[in-house]
Amino acid sequence: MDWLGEAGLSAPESVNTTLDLPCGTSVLRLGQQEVLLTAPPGGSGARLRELRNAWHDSELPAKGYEAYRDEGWAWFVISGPAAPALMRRISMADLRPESLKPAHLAQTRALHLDAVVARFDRFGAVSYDIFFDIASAGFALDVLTETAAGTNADFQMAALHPAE
Amino acid sequence: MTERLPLPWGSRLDRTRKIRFEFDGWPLEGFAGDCIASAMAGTGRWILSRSFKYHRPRGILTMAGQDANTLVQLPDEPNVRADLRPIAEGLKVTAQNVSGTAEHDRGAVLDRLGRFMPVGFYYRSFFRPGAKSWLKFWEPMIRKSAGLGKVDPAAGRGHYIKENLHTDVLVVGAGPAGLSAAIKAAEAGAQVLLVDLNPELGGALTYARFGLEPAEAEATLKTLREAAEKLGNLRVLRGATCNGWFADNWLPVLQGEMLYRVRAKQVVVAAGSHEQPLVFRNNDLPGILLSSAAQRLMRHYAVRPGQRAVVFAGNRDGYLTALDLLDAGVSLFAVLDPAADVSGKILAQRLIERGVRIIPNATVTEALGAGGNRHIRAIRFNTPEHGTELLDCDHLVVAAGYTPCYQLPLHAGAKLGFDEASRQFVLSNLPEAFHVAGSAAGYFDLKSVLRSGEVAGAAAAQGAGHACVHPDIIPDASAPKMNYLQDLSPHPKGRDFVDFDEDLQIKDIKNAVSDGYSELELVKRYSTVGMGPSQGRHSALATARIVARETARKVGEVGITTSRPPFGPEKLGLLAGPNHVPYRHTAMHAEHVAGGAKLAPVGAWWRPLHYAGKRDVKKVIWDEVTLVRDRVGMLDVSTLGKLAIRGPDAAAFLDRIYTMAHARQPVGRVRYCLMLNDMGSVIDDGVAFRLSETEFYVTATTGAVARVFADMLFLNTQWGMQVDIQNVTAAFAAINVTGPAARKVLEALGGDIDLSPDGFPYLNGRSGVIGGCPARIMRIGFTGELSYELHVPQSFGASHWRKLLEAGAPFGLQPYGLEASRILRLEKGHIIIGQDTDALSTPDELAMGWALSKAKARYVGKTGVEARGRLGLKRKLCGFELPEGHGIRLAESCLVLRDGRPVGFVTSTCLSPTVHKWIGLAYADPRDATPGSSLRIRGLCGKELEARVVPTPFYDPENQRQEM
Repeated sequence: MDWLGEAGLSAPESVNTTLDLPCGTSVLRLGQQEVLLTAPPGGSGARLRELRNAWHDSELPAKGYEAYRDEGWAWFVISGPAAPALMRRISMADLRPESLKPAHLAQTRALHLDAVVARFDRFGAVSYDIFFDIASAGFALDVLTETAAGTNADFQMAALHPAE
Repeated sequence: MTERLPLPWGSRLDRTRKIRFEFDGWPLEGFAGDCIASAMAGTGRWILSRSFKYHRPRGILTMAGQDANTLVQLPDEPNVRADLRPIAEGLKVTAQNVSGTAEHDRGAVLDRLGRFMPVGFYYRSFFRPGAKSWLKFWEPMIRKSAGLGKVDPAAGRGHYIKENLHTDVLVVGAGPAGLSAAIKAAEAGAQVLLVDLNPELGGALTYARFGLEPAEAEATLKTLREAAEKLGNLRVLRGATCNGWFADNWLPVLQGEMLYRVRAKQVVVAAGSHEQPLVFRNNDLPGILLSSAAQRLMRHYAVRPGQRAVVFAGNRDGYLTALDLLDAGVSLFAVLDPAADVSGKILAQRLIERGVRIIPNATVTEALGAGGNRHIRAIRFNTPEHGTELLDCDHLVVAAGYTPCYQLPLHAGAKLGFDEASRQFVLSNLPEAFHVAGSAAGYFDLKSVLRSGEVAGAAAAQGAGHACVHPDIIPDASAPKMNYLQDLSPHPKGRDFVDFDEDLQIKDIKNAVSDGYSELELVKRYSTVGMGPSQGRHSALATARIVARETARKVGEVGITTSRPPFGPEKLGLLAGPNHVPYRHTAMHAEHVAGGAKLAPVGAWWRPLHYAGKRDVKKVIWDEVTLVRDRVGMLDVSTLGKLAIRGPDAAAFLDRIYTMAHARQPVGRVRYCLMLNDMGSVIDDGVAFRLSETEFYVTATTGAVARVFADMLFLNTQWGMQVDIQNVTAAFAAINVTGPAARKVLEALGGDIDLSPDGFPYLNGRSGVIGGCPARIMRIGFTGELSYELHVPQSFGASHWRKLLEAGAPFGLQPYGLEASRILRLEKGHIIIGQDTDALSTPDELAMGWALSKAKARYVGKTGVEARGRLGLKRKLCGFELPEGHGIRLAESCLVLRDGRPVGFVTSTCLSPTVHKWIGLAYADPRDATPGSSLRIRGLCGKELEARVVPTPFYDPENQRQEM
């Protein structure tokens, strides 16, 4: 948190909340001293790389430690009017829109995995960003595909690549 | 098909659609909306099954899916409740527990042998005539006839779905009380989920008249349905059963092949009550049914229960059903009332006005059956004035009282007592956030029932955080008169069934007490009362009363046996499915598949066992071993646990966790880590690479890393050291390049790391770039050859694998799998945690005392391992060898013997392609575990032989090859 302050970046006040920086980077507060920074999905990763380099170069003693989430976590987004219905089938947590409001997140279980689920309401609809173990990505995709098909809501799969 | 009642009877039927089905091979016809039982009754077929022990004909009792009489078999599904399951075109239904058919069951002969089967007879029988009679004769016979229903292993797979629901208020039961509760809570703003077993809302309002004229009940039903329909925050699940209560208001709701896992802030149970049968001789005959069953048959399915009725009216509902029977055109011969004086009963007067004979002070003593007890034909009843009389009838309707649906409340911790004044079971000690309404709470008069629902709904809404005005309860004058408690003296000729499921009579319960089982829990287990499919719904009260009488106690003191989930039947598929088996892939998974690897699960990870493709597997594995020994091989070790330990106290923290000294480990060095539990048993091992003064990169075994990570976090919560601990296992791909040419391969990749022997000695680590990829590399030895373990960010894993193969091609580099890896490490004498160790293995048993720091004041397990060291060794792991053609089936777990007794076992063994002998590790008596001694090993074939104990490692004992 000290480094965020030094870099002039805002951080959500409470654990399990998020905010979007003016540059488009999202800040997810996972703990008293743990944040996850994400680039806009499908957007440019340049700003995030700048921030990472700045963090690496910082000599602040209490700047914290790298948790390697960019390597260790997979990142899926489920969006659309049927998103809450799909979430009901993949997680036992109360992720109803009225319970998990935008700019909030839950550190819970989904898709039979430990997961971070955040409401960002991307693409103009209710949406959930889900972060989980990268090694389980294939399994998670299988579960999502099968479960989505069972909702008869015509979910479509797409891969969001960075803009550059 | 017999004539059905005209409209408006038959609310569930679509008379425009006829449906054909079969029962026991007989073609039958019903209407869409019929259930199996109603369609059969509509054709005059009343026998649905045969009883468990005596194979007596059984028919409709409750028409509510609450009794075992209606369990039938479908081709792919056993134990289907015929009074709930709709008929379908072409449905083939058969009876269960029969030798033949329901109508003609050869097993019926057992009904005549009852005297040879008294309660608990199976504990004393089946031991004669000979010592092996049980195993050879009786057991096969009993096994063949035991059980209910048949499973078809070839049945098509079901498609089961689980969904998680969260709600403010869950209301169980959509009868008048449940609907009132749900509407009240929803009107207060709560999110409400209303669950009911039936396809239509209304519960008893859909079949019972509640008063002289049915108009009030009909109007109430209409009003409630319309009100519920308008509320957008009230969701209804029909055809659904709430099957249990678990901690914190977590309740499973089953609907077809869907399992809803519901978490509710508040629960209202308005599940009604179970009507109770009368106990008298032959009280189980087809044609004897409860009053609510008769009403359901008529109102829901337009089926008359018969043509010539007798009603036993132990309460108001008997009279109301009698009125229904008259309205349906049934000839009602008499209403038997156990009360001495009926002159004050308006309902009785109304029946008299309609020409019905009311007989006060009456008790039913016996039912008589026609044609092998296939159907009731008459009843005997007794009055003090006239003695015993006979009444012809083709059905007897019984209204003798109720027990509340206590199951869910008891799951939630409520207590069930018995109120002597009102003669009913009463629930108390309800937990917070849990409410009961309607007849389950002891209300029977319609206004009281509705009001009790409103009260419960208001309380639930308020509990969920929604303001709501609480109405007052309306006292119920009917309640104390609803339960008739008959005299439960046994009939001299028996067959007065207390428990229909288990064919238990009054004398069976009495005899259980006489045999010494005076507590209800023992009576249950000795007699099996309440243990059948209906789980005591119709036997609990009678049993408690009999035991109370026989032991001179009150019913409240005897109680009932507790109720646990599930409330009703639930398919294993619902619990299991959908069937998602987790798997994890390394970053190089696609490379292994493309390379012809045979992959196998190791926990959730899929790892390559070998790369044989279509070639001979054994030869390929040997070739992979030789590849590593002679040239160079590469193994995907990405699954190994990886932990980032960073901070000012990182070194001190590792010192406490592991047995070796890490605090003074130089930067750039790699040191072995051994982890113990508090008992001093080995639980994991790995290596720690010191990256800086404050940073370590630690490996753990694939299977234990999650536990090690959790233990580290837990311990540091107590220690409060300044250290950050991260499980980065999946973030890094790892490849072990091993063999005499390993250095040449890495040099060919290029990079900024000095790979010379002096620049990068054994048990050192380096960080830098290699092959264009950031990497941490450690020189460690698992195979016994020159080895480099490369750790790269997992997004580089696949490309790095390909680059290695390209760079290593001139040196013969190929991948190898786990099978070869296991042989290589065994040749080097390295243990595998969990294979060569068990829950009791200490470092001393493993000859790893060298890994226990003598200088450290503390580490996890130090006290334990030192204390166990003082006790002396009882076993020791040692190496052994045998010639190639030793002649026994040697494998892991083969016993090691001393003086004919087992003293240990083989943990690892293989035929070594390198030393051309059978080698292995085994636990043995410490006196035998020294090189030069011998071990006696018993093979899986039973043959024994002596194996020579040898020092380990079996290969390159001077470690020259791995340290070059």
